[in-house]
Amino acid sequence: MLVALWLACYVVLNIVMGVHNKWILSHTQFSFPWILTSIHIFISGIGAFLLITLGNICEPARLNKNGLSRYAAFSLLYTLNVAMSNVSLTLVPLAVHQMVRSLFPMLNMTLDYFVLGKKHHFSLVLAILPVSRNEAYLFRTIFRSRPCLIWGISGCQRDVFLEFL
Amino acid sequence: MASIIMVGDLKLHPADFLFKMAPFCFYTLHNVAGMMDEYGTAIHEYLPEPHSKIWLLVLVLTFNGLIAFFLNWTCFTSTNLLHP
Repeated sequence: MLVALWLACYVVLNIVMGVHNKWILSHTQFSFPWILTSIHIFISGIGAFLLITLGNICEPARLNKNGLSRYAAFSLLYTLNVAMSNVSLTLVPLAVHQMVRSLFPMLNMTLDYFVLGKKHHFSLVLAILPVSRNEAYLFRTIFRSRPCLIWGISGCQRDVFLEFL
Repeated sequence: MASIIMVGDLKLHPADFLFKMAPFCFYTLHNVAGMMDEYGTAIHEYLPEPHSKIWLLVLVLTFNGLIAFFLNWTCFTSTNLLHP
């Protein structure tokens, strides 16, 4: 139940973040995705610092060289992911951006299989297929009719949420 | 990647991970933004603007940063809960 709640918060915040970023980058004159991403990281760091020092929420862990290098590489990858997301928002409409992001579960599972040799349960693969179907339908009808667009978007969001359940 | 790295001995609290990640990533992004000349363009665009407009932009960007902080928090917490 707790996991579902955190995942629901993550999904909602993801959508809010995407819409707000798109609004800032397109409708204000502030079309600087790299500066925007650095502001995200800066405020995240300030928030974490305040929680640790004033809130005593956790004890900072000490990492060895191996741990530090692994976390540095992962941090860079994570930041690049966020930065590329913001850069892509300046280039494509939000609908296309969300469509491509919705393909990530299927891409992840494919890469897991071919690169890491990791097999996912058949029920998970089955859950991903409707998402791909909706993506293809949405892509085909995105500029044709608004009701189809709304149906496609709601179908994608529903399918992604069901996948998490 | 998070499910591979943020497990076992390397499993950090979300706040701890954000606290460790932020300086390194901010430094990298700051350099990339400089290389892309975003700072120069931003200064030229916003220097002649009235102060009220700049403060409004600062407020909007701060709010955006707070959303990003909570998004990062929920992302890492979900990862920790899904991979005990």
